[in-house]
Amino acid sequence: MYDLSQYSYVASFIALALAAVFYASYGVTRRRAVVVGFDADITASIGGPRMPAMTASLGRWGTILIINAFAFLTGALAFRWIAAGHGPFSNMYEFSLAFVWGTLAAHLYFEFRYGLRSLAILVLPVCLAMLAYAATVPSEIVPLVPALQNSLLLSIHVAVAIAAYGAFVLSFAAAVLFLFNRQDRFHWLPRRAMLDEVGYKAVMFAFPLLALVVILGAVWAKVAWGTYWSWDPKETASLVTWLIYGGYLHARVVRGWKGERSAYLLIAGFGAVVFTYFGNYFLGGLHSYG
Amino acid sequence: MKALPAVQTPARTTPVSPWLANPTGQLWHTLTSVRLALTLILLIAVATLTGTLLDQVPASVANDSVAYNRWLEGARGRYGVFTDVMARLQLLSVFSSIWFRGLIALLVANIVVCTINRWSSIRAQVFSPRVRMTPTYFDRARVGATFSVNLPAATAAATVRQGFRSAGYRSLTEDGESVAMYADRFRFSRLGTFLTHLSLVLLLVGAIMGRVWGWSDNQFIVAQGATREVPLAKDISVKLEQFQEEWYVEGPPKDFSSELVIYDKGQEVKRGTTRVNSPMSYKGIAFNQAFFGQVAVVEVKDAAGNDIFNEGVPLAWTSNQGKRPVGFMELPGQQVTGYIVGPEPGSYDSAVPLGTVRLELYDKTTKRLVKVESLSRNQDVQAEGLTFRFLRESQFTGLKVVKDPGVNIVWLASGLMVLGLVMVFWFPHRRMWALCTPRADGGADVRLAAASQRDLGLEKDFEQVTAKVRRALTRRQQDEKRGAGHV
Repeated sequence: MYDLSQYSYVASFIALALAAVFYASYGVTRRRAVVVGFDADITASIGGPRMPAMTASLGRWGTILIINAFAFLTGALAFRWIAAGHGPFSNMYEFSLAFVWGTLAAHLYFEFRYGLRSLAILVLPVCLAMLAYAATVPSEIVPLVPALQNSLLLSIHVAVAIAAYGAFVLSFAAAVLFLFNRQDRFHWLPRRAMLDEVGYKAVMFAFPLLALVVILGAVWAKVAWGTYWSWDPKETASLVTWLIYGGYLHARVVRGWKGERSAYLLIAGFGAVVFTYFGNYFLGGLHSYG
Repeated sequence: MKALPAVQTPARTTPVSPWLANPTGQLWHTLTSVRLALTLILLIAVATLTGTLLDQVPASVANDSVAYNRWLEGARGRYGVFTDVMARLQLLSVFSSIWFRGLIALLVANIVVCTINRWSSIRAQVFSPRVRMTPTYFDRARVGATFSVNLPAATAAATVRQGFRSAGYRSLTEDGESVAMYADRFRFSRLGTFLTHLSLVLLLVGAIMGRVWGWSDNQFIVAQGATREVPLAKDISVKLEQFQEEWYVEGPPKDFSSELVIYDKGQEVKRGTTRVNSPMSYKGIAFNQAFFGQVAVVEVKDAAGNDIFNEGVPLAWTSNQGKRPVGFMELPGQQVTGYIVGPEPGSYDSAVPLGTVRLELYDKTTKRLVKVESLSRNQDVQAEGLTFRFLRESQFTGLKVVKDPGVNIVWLASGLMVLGLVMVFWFPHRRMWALCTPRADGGADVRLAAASQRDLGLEKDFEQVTAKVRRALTRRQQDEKRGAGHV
C-alpha cells in the first residue's frame, strides 16, 4: 500500500508537470491567436467556438492531465490512508499532498463551472512547488504521537483546512491575474470583473471553512492540551489568515477598497496561508509535528 | 470642548440630520461605518501577526518578577537594545496589552452599533420586502428579461409565480393595474450576518468568563502512590495510582496515561484514566495529561530514628547547569532543606551515575549549600545529623488542571459563528422582481429583474429562474390556445 501510494504520487507529479506544459502552450498559442486578431472576442467565453483547433486541443489535453493528476493524487492519499490506518494528515509530506489535492479540486471546479483555464498559469506552479517540496521531506509513515491520536478530529480538522486552502490558492491566482490585467488589456486573460468575482467566490466558499478549522483546532486543543486557546504560533497565524480574509470581505463594500486594494488583501491572505502552513518550521510551539 | 473628528463615511449621500450635529451622533455614525470595521480588523491582524513573530512572555513567567526578568535577559539576546522599548510598548505581551484590548473593545463597539444600525433595514428585507418595483427599475436593471405573452396579466402573473415556485423561490404578489411580484430564496441568510457578528461578542464574553471565574494549574504534579490536593480547589485532591508510558519500536511516544482517583472532601468520587486525548473531568475541572517524569522515593530519619520524611520526590525541574532533573523536599523542623538531583537522561553522567541520586542540603536561613552526598539505593547516608536513604525510583504525572466556566459559551459562540457564516456565504439571499403589465390587445408584458449587485451566482440563478418562468409561460400559452380551439 505504501509503495502504491508512492507510485501514485510520482505519477501525479508527472501528470501535473505535463499539464503545466500543455497549459503553457495553450496560453502561448491563444495569445498569438489573439494578437494576430484571429479572435479578439475570445475573452467573452473562454474556450469559445472560434478558438483555433490546436489551441483548443492543447487546453483539452491540459485539463485531462489535471484530472489524471488529481486521480493519482487521490490514489496516493487513499493508499496512504489504508497503509497508515489514519487520515493522511499528520506530517508535512501528507499535508503537502493533501494541499495540492484541495487546490486541484478547487481548480477543476472553477474550470468546469466558469470555463476558467487561465488560472492554471499560477495554480499549477503552486501545486508543482508543493509536490516538489513533498519530495524533500521524509515520506515514511510514522506512528502517531499521543497528541495526534484523535482520528476523528485529525481527519476533520486537517481535511477542512485543505479544502479552504485549496480555494485560497484559487483566489490568490485570480487576484494576481486581476492586478496583472489592468484595464483588461490582455485579451487572452479572463476579464477583470470575472477574476474579481472568482476571487470572491473562492473566499465565500473557504471563509466559513477556515472559521471551522480554527474552531475545530480549539476543540482539539481543549481536549488534548486543556485550554482551547493558548496563543500558540500556529493558531495565532491561522487567526491572522482569518482576519485578513475577514478584512477582504468587508473591504469589498468599502469605497476605495474595491478592486485593486481588495486584490492585494487576497494576496496578503494567501501569504498568511503559506506562512501558517510552513510556520511550524520557524515558529515552534505546540504544532511542531515536522 | 473640541468636536470629535469628522465622519469619514459618505456623509454626502446621507441626509444630514440634527442627530449628526452633536458629538454623540457623530460618534455613533463613525461606529456604524464598515470602513472603521475594516481598519480595526486589519489593525488586529497586524497586531496578531506581531504577537506571532515576536517572542511573547510566557504566561507562567508573567506574574513572577524574578522569572520575568530572567526571561527578559534571554530576549535581550534577540532584540538587543530594543528589548526595553519593546517591553514597554507591550510588544512582547501583545495579547494582554492595553492597546490590543482597546482594539478589541472598539471592534465590539463597532459590531454592536452596526448590528443595531442595520437591524431595521435587514428586518424589512427579510420580513417585509418591497414587492412593487417601478418600470424604470426594470429598464435599468443590469440583469433582466422581458417576455410578451398572449395571456391576461392576472393569468400571466399566476404562471410566473408557478415558474418561481418550481425554481425554489417563494413569491409575493401585489395586484393593481399591473401585477407586481417579488420572489426570493434563502431570505434568512441575511440574519446570518447578525449571528456571525454577535457570536464574536459572545465569544469574548465566554473568554472573559473563563478569565474571571476560571483558573489553570499547569504544573500539578503527583508522584505515583501519592495524593495531592489541588491548590486552587482545596476540596479536591487527586491520587495517582499508576503512571504508564508506552513507546513505539521506532522511537516516538505512543501513549501516556495516568490512573487517577479523585477525592472531594476526602470522599472518593471518581476513578479513571487520563490520557493525552481523553482528559478526566469532575465538577467542571478538567485533568489533562501534560507531562511526566522521574521520582526518587527517599526516607529521612532524625537522630532518634523517627521518620521525618518518607515519600516520592518528583524530579520535575531542571538544574541550572546541565539538564539534570531536580526535585525539592521540605524537611519540617530541620535547619536544612533538601534537593534531590537525578542523572541526566539519555547520556552517561559521571557526576550522578545511573542508579544513584545526588543529595544537596541547603541551610534554611543562609540559603547556602552545606552538604553534597551521593545516595545509592538502600544505603544509609548520614548528613547534618539526619539519615537519608534512597529507596527506589518511581514516576510522577504532570497534569494540567483547568477550570473554565466560560468554555460552553465559547462553544456556543463558535457554533453560531459557523452557522452564520454558512448561511451568509453558502446560501446567499437571492431576490428577483417581476411586473406583469396588461397590453391593449389583451396580452401582457412580463418583465423580470434581479437585485442589481454584481454577482456571477446571481446571474446564473437568474438565468435558471428565467428559463423556468419562460417554460411555464410557453406551456400556459399553448394550453390556452388549445382550450380556445375547443370552444
